[in-house]
Amino acid sequence: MIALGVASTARAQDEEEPLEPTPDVEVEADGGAVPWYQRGRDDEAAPEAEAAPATTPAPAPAPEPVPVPASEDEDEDDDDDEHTGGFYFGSYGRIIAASDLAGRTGRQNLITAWGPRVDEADTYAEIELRREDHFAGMDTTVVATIGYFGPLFHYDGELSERIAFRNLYARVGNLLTPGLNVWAGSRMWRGDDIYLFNFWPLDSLNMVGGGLSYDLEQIGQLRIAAGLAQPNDPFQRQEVLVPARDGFSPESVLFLDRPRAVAAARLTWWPFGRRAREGMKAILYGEGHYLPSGTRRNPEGFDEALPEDAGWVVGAQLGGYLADQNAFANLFVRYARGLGVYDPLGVPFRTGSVIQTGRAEELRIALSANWEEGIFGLQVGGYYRYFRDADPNVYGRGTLTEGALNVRPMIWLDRYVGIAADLSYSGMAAASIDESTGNAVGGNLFKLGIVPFVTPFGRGTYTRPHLRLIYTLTVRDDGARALYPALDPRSANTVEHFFGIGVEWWFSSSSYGS
Amino acid sequence: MREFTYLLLALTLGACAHDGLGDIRDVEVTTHVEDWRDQVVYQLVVDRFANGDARNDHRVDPTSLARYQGGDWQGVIDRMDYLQELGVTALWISPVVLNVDTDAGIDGYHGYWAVDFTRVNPHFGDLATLRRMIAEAHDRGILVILDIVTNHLGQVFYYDVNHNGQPDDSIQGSGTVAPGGSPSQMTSPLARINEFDPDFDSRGVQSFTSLGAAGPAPIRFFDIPEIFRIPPQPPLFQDPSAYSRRGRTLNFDDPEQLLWGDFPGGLKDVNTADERVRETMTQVYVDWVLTADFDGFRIDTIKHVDNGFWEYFAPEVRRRVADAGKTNFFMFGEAFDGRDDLIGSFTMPGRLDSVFYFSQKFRVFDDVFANGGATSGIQRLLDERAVNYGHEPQPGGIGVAPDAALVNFIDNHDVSRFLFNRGDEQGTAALRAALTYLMAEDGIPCIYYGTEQEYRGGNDPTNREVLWTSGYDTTNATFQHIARLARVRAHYRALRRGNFTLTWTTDRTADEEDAGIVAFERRDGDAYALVVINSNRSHSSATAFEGNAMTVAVAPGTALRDVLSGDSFTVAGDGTIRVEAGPYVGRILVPAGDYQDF
Repeated sequence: MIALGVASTARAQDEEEPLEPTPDVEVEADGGAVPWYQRGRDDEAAPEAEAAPATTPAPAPAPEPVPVPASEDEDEDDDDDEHTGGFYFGSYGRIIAASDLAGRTGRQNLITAWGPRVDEADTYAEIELRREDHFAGMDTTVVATIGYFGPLFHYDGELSERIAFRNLYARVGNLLTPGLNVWAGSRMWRGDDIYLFNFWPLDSLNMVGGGLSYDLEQIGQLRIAAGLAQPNDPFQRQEVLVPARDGFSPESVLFLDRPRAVAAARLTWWPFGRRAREGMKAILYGEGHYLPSGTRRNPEGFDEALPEDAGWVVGAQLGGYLADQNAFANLFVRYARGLGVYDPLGVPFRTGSVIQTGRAEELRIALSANWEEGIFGLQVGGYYRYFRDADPNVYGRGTLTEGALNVRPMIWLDRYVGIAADLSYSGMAAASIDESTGNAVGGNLFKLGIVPFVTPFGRGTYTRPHLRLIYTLTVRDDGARALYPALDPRSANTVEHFFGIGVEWWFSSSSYGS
Repeated sequence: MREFTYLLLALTLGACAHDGLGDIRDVEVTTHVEDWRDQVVYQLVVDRFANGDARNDHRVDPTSLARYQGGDWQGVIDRMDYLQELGVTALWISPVVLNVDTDAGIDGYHGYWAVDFTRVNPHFGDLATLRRMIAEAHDRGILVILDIVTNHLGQVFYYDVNHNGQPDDSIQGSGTVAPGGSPSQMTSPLARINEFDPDFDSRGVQSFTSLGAAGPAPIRFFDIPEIFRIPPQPPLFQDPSAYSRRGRTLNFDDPEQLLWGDFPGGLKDVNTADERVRETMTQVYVDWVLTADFDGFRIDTIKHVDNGFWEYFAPEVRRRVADAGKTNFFMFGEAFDGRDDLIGSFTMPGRLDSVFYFSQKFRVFDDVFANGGATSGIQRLLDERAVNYGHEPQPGGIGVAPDAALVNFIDNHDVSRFLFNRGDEQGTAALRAALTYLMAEDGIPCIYYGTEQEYRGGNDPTNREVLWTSGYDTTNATFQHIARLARVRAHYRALRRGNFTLTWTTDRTADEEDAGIVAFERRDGDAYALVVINSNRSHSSATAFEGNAMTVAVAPGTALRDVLSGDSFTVAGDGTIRVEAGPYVGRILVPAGDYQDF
């Protein structure tokens, strides 16, 4: 065992989990004393528009409840009136430099909405600052997480950064009664993911609003949240210039202003107890989406009425875990209809006359699993997706099925060094015919990756930081090549290489744990 | 005590919220004029007269007279003393409504490119300042006439001739000529597609594609708020049917084009035969009277509007403003045309109170005073007036027949200035002679701003100089001459309201005794004046030729005295009088007993 290497600031990832001052905990270098899946995980990651490949960071393995550092005025009393608290710093990041061994930049090969990420080539990082306090039996947390999207200055020389607040909220735990927690602000709100795809198959919301949760002893939890989202797109928001009422400079009027209201609820049941070392959990999940009617002005100056819109999502998750073997498996099923098919930060229609989502639907079935035993580890991810957009056309690229399967076995050569193989398949087929080939639109992609890595905190599939060399061989069929524009080398090459060096870390993050 | 505190607080807050509008918060519409013939009108282009508020100097370009210069209503307020010293009793200000700000590098500073009839042009100030200007004028006994346009709006839409959704100005065809062919036999003729201002088509502007005709061209309104090139207001003017949509007038002699063609420059002709248009146009301008207490309208481009419109508009305006408390509301129109019968037609019963006397401008001030033509032309014009103009006051109008209330002018913003055409040493003398005629004849004199500063601009826009470069000099001879004539006119009722009788004109323009002489009497009851002006540039002339002197209507032996020089004359026993005047000298003779030194 080694002591936690990062300033003892790790804490529970579940933001609804009561923040409990606990005795000092040391973490097993190869996995952690309390696996993250026992605590439930939430949050993080970049917003994803509908049908957009995931570009978000991976989950964390081992958030640990640790003592909250005492504030300077901490006294000796140990009752609820004792005030403890402090400021905390956390981070997530992934950075990679890669080549295709043909003189160009190494790029991720992705023909599906989400897919194997062994060749993930984008930079993303977060810096999180928190204030945590415990007093009067309550816990309060104020979280500010700044996300940074590449490229890095050291790569492109541009003194400009793309940044966004990924979290900016306050939470109060054990409010009025133990187990009742509330939050308000702006945050990521999500559950379990498939790390290999950077994909949250059941629930992944980014919202400005608030929510609450109630923990029923250690066997159940109800979480609800509601918020608003309004992408700056003339589907939901449009400013028009009007002549100045006084003077000369035109004034801007918010002509179209219809934020989408989203409400979500998740009910979790741990039949063997939340902290059982061998257990399972079942989740029921639902979302409701509503978009008011509005009017927008098209470039020709004509006003166009936009009808109100609505949609919903239902889903379920069934998971089991064996703490002693750091093993878990989750099965997800999710069905969405209408507006619920589209991410709240996505825009269902950018062109065309279809302006209501009623016909759209999506079905997701997904699986994720992890197993560790001694020097061996195995990660598995897979999903199937059927998507149909709101367009009434029977044929088109807006109707498709797709999926991916990814296995990543790994072996540690010693405590800190290992090597992983990444084997994956992904494919998609759309109800459309490619004019250039005469074939159905769709394709198949196979990847074989070899990833030697270093994990200074020891063994564990989710132990971070993770410094790695990556080589991936991608083989794509004709259909997959045809999915790329003619000028893109990927449209011509059946085989593509990816060779890079990268790193991924997380610590003391309310999104990823330590 | 608490109640007192609340009261004190309320009073304090009330004081803080005081709007400072004073007596212009509410406009009391009332009649400020007894007889329009008493007035001396001063036409000013607001953008050029005086700049009193630098805050509205938006996009001002002092180097280009086709652009905004910065004048505003506050400037007019600031120069009221100047106007009063000149003798002005009525201001005709350029249009106040919101205009398309700029088009093809030329600005709407003049005000004739309306886009929103309900709003003021911010270049000139706000509504409070406009009201203050009018109230200030009224306080000084000065009337204010609003310039309005009913014929057209600015360049508010384009004809989408090729249905591509964007305004095009392009050349179609390559101009290819077949081998051995002549240039007139192009196999690919050149054709200009100008969707801003296409040529007149009586069917309405037509669209076409490469395959041929494609029916009426749709119109598309611009929406460029930065330059107020926006869909027009009131909303009726966003309805294509409110416009004639026949394209640019090419032939002004074609009545159809004259009435229903767009005014050159892409100014979109309004369908004034449409009852909705008539009503809307009437009400928007009545609203300005009620909003700011204007005393009259000068109406632009009236010959391009059908008479049916005027027969609706004029009575309705009179009725509505009278209902609000304003009578003697004066409406005179501008028909930029030398045809006296055409001009006069707008004064026929049921139409306007008066017109801008363009035929006189061409045939008297240009032909006679500027170019030395025979004064007998004045007699002929007067004879035509008896036929061409209305002889009865319009019902509910100003109480004066149109033929006695014509608006006389030497030059204006649409023509080159008098001195542009008379740049010689005697130009200013000729101008002053013309001014004497203008101020002494019957009708209503109208002086274009800058005349008093002897401006010499040519055609638009060089005749729209900024006045502030003159320093508002009140000592120059022409300013003093006008001021003096205004005082004389104000004093002698005969010069304002008297009948007009020509007593001497001549065909002679050389070295004859009476060459260049024009003389007329003004009589209103006992009030009498005899005016003699020599338009000859080279020698003194007299009201006599070959021993025959001018006969006048006053009794033999009547002593007359020239109020401009003090010279005395006596009517001979045979009822004649010989009055001699030097080159470009005018005399205003009044009975010696009425003489007063001005």
